Amino acid sequence: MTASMSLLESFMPHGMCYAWRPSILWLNVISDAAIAIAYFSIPLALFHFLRKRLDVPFRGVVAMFSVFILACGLTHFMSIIIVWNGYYGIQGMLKAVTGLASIGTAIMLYPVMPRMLALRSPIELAESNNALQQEIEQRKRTESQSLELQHELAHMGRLTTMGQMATGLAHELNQPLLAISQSADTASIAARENTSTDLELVDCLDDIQAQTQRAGEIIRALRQFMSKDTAHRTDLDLNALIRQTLQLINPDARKHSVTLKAQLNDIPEPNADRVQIAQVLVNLLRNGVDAIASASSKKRQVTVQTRDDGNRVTVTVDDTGPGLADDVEPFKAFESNKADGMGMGLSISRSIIESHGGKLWLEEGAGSGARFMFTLPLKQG
Amino acid sequence: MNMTIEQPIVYLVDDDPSIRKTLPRGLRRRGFNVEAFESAQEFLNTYSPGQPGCLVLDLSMPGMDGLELQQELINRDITIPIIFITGHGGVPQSVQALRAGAIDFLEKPFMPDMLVDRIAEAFIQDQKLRSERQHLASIRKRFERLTSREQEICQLMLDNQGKLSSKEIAKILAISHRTVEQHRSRVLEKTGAKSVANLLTLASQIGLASSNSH
Repeated sequence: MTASMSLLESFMPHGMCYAWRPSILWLNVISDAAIAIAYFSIPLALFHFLRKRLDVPFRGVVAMFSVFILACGLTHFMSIIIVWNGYYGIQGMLKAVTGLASIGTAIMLYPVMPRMLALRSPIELAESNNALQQEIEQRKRTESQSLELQHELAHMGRLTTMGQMATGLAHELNQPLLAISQSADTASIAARENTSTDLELVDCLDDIQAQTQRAGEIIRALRQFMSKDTAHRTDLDLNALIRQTLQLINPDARKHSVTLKAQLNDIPEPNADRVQIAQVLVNLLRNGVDAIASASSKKRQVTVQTRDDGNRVTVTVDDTGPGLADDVEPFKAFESNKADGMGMGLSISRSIIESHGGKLWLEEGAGSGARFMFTLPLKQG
Repeated sequence: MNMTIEQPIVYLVDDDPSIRKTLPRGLRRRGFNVEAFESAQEFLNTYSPGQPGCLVLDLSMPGMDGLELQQELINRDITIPIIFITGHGGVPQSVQALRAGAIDFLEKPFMPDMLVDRIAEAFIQDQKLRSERQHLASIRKRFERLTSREQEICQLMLDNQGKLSSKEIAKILAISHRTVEQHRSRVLEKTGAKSVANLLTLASQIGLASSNSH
């Protein structure tokens, strides 16, 4: 009771300590007033900020800080009152409240310190924002490039499927033609050795030889016509082309829950026809996806790899499908494993790669699935 | 020299069985000895470099292809002449093949006569290369017959383009002029050289001396 009474008790005003000398008195009063006004306005600003920015973290800390500043402001305000009225009890109470608020704020700072340190600075945020923006642009670019590639592939598909087939078949046809030519030759020699041979037989065999050569000439002319395509060859960023091709295949792969994986190493740029190589890649990747789609493989993945082999680059396409049956000749035209396949894909792909001076083959004994590999030569020197 | 005259053999390497069946049949009818192989590796495993002949080689095959086999033969210092045959046009490959010494690059289907002509050409080249090799081997053999003293004197004759006189050689080796003269004539006799100039030529052929002055 007496304690609470003494709180309101009026003591000697603080102005006495200044000996009521105006200079020192007003210096203190005005300074305290300035501090108090500032300390009152800071929490106001902070409250306003908190109300407007609901996303700001550490709201509790900011609120505590505001209370502590407000309390500090009050103590300075009180310092002005006591110049004329000695309510030191009330001033003490205010200081106690301020002390508590200060200690509370100070204590509260430590546990939240790690979280505050982890906060991204605006500069960091801007940087990561920038990187994100660049990635979006990069993706957009790849996407539009692969769309463009799709158009080109479709365009080329319409225009030159027949031509490509013909070129692919040229090699296949030249083999039996040579066999016919050689056989006609042998038969002709044998017929001539026999004196009793009907001359018409010799004549027939010579005609077979002549017509076989004619067929060969037709194929040669056709191939020369097709080989004008070498004009489209450029130094090719194969890794970029593979990324674009993967984008094209991706919807199909997702439909069959197949993951596409790329392991692309730094490789030099081979001189090659972009659209033709894309055709080969699409063919190999789609074959891989189809092989898994038609099987119940647990691991469903098609992996494409690039490698620098000095004088050539090597591309490997692996799938986790069932692999190829022993009696299938994958590169033979019109022979297919698939119910709706024409058996042209690999045969055309091989002829495209060989026309670039590379090789395309099925790698034996490469695990459970199929592994196709092809090479593209690099310019020497 | 004991030499049996070996018949040259046409080696065919092609992965297509129909070619391996029909092409040798025609060539055999024409009197050639032919051996056919399914792959480059199979050929390498069987071929012995002493055997005269030529190689009819398919360009594109699984595994080691024609160009790679050509390179492998060059690496092994085997000079068998090669006639490439191919189902593709393959201009860049043909340039590479011919540059590396191939006889020709024939596109399938070729006239059988054309192949026969090329084989004849290849045999002549093979014969030439072989006799060159034999010639060099015989020179080498003659030089190997020299005694170590004779070799020493021969080397001194070669080192100075034959300009050192017997007297000078005698001085270098600190032996008598007469002895050097004797060794000199024996060097010429043993190597079959008609003169010092001829000795220089023979030595440069087998790489014992450079024919150009340094």
